[in-house]
Amino acid sequence: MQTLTVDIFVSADGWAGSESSPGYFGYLGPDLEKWINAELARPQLVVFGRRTYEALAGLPEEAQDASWERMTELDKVVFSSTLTTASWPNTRISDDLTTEVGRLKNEGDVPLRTMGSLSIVRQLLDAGLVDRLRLMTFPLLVGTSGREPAFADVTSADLELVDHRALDGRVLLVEYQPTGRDIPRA
Amino acid sequence: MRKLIVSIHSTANNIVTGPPSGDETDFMQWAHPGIEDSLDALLVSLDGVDTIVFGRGTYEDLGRKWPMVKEWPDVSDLSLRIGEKINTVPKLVVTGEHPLESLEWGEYEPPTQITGADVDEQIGELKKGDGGHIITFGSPVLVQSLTNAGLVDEYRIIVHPVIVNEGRRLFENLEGRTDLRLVGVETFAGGAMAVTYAPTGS
Repeated sequence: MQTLTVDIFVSADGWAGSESSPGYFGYLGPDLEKWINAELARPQLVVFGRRTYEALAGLPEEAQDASWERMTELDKVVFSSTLTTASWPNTRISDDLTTEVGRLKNEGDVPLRTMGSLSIVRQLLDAGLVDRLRLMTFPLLVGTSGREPAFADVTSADLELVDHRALDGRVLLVEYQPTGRDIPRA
Repeated sequence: MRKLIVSIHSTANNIVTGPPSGDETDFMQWAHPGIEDSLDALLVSLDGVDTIVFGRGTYEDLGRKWPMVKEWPDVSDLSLRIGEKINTVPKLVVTGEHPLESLEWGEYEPPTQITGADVDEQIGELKKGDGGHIITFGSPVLVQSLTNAGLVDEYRIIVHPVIVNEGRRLFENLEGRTDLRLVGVETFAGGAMAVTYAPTGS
């Protein structure tokens, strides 16, 4: 059984950061860069929603750095009911999220990972398919210019803290495992 | 200048209250395990604090519980010590333009109110006076207002290992960007974490 890891980059006030340059809210540092590259270096199948896929696939040339090149090499699946063609190499399109992700976990030969793609993250959490939730919290309050709250419309979920560390002394990476249990109630 | 500390319990998805349909402050059941686990740290965080400020909702919630701490079933020594501090430290309830007729805190000295349209200015003046640290509990709307006024020196957010699907978010309605310094992270037995930030301007 392959694991599904969901990576969410978020400000301290809960706004989603984008995976695309110049992103990271201005807080890219040596530890964070090393983490990003080490994570990309692993064998994985990247799972995207349409918007994140289009933002990354359509990055202008000057923003296409080494980590973007690595993403080009990786196998990718975009879940969308409207996208018909995907021109980024090594990408296929599917429109049946939970069935296909379930199948890939059971039958696939590499772990799965999402980046951004909040629209499908919510569905994956709801379906109980997420094995690891990694929140990368950036040390700032974005305020009302935040584009998208990272967790709008989620279902409640109980989590277990697996690990945490501070990157560059300032970006807090927290790793949780959804337990599948109900949240504490009265 | 006195230090203003915001201390608040949050889910991993930034929710800081219970469901809007019920009593917002009493429904935070998801926070109870982490609150228990982090009591030692709470006592430490009260070191040097000589004023507690909260909004009306948090005043009512905490005022129902803490004055009676000696009567809690199987109350721990730690809770008694925290209760002693919370019950005896001067408390200010921010009621703004909707003042309450009277305030009480069990058998202890009642809190006083901060009323009027210039609550932020009044808290700003309080910071300039003599005294120890000022701490807020709960009170997300007050926290937002204090953040917008640039009055907060430290945020101590206890992040509980849970995502919830309804309730108010911490840090709604913030004007503009505030960069923060990560001061520290402390983890507790059941996976809750106290994350401390200081605005970089301060």
